[in-house]
Amino acid sequence: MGLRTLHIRNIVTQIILKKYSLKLFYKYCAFFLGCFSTFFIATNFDLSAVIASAAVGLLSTFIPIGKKYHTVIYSGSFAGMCSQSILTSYTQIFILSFIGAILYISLASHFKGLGGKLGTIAFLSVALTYLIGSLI
Amino acid sequence: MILLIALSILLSVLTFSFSKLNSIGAIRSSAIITLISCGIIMLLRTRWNFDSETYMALSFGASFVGMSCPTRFGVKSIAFGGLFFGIFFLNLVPLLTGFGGALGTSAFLAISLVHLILSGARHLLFRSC
Repeated sequence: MGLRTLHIRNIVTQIILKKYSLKLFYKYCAFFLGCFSTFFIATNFDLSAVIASAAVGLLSTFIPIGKKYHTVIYSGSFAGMCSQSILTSYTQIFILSFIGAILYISLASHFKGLGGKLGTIAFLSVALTYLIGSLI
Repeated sequence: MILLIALSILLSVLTFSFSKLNSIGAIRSSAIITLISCGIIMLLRTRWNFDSETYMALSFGASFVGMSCPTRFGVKSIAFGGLFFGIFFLNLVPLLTGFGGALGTSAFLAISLVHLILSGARHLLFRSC
């Protein structure tokens, strides 16, 4: 019975891990899309970061990928509002998006219905990326 | 200062009311209200000289307050959220310049404060009954 229980537990853990990693990957892609496009538009087209972020957020709602991914893209677009002194290279956006996706999965359900939760997730991921960057 | 806070309250309530319309939702509402207000601010800048970036940032941040769930908050709560956001915007955001998400954090703090006051009031009312 013990071996069987262990085997079942192993299978369940594998399924959960697979599901979690897939979820993380999709959220990562969405966060990266929002962050990169906002940062790219704001830095290359000499446009205000506010307008860039709002435009990215609005356009993302027309992509048929589901409401929860729209919120991740919008959260990523807030993170992409950073000035060039904070986000110095595009490689930092990869790290930022990874941290953002993890934070989104862990925190979003706790702050349900509260305005500003996407911005808080973005801020925390930016602050953590900045901290990691300054430590390295 | 009073103008900034008044604008913050107005835009929060506008975003909140707009998001309740069918097929709009919180994200579209926030983005549309921000883009419209930015357009108005840029138009006004051509006539008068003022710090348009501050007003644009305020309108974007205030729209985050209005993204709150309509089942958890009413219009009055959102108006108070807008008021608190205006205060946070004036005092907290200048310390976090350049960091993405600073506006959202201020909005979150403002709406959390409203939530805290509301739950405290409810708790006191039920205790007294």
